Amino acid sequence: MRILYNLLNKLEKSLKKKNSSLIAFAFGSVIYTSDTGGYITAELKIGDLNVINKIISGEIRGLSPEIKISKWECSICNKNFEECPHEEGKLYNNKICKTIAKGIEFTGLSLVDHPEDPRCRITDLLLIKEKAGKRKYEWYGFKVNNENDRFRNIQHALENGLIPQDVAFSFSKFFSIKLEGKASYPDSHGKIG
Amino acid sequence: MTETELTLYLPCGKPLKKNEKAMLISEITSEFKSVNLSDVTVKDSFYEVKRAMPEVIELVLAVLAATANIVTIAMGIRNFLKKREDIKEIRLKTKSLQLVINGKMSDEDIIQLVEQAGKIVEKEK
Repeated sequence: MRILYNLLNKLEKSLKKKNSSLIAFAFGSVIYTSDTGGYITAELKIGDLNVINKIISGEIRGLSPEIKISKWECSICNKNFEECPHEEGKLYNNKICKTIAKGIEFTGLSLVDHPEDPRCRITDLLLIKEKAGKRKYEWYGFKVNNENDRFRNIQHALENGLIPQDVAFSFSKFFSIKLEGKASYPDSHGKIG
Repeated sequence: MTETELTLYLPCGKPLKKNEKAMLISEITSEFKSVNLSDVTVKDSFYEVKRAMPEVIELVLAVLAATANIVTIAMGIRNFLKKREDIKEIRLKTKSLQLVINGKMSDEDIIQLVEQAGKIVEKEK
């Protein structure tokens, strides 16, 4: 069964609640192209503790993109598929007619338990906890599709100001040894780095 | 009488040819007329990918209409679905409501559904 979250509404509501000192950023791939293997990575800001716990436990990690397409192109004549004479799936001069989506608009993203494409899921989760003016960072590394994805996500978090450089270095160091797991900064013994 | 404009969201699985789309729109409009809704027009159409549930989301109508019209619009959609077994259900969206209509619903089912959806909206306010 699909669990749909209006992430922005949830975020607004949850920020008003007591857990305003906890914020999470989830990273994952949302769209894969079948021909080139290219993909788009999304960053989600989550403030709802219930959602965060479900991501950590693995109950929901799937990502379901919502895309609006206004036009299709025919792969045979490269014209508007609605108006051309070719039919999808049929052979024309040994070429199969395919429809190519044009005019694509990304309208939203949902967290789901079972995404249609199993590669589209959250692979990394960054938790930023703040208590008495002190910040603690936790990075949960789940199964990745590509070993470079995690380092790319850490780099992305650094470049977007979500984590400082020393934290990014600490997480990168942790995940260069372990493929999956949880890294903390400062660590559980209060050590830094 | 105010005009109600619909935006048609079609499933991505099979893009339609111009005549197929025109026929679909004509069939829907004709069902609206059968429930005395002659002011409903299909303004625009798009294809929508919602990857998690391709088997359920077959067709989506985004409606900008007064709530009073929703019951009648839903009945027109139900009548259309009775004839089109290839479309499992239609999601009817307004600014505040989202209803899922299927061809097996009775008039009473639809009235109840709209009332319930209205109550949820009131609670959220």
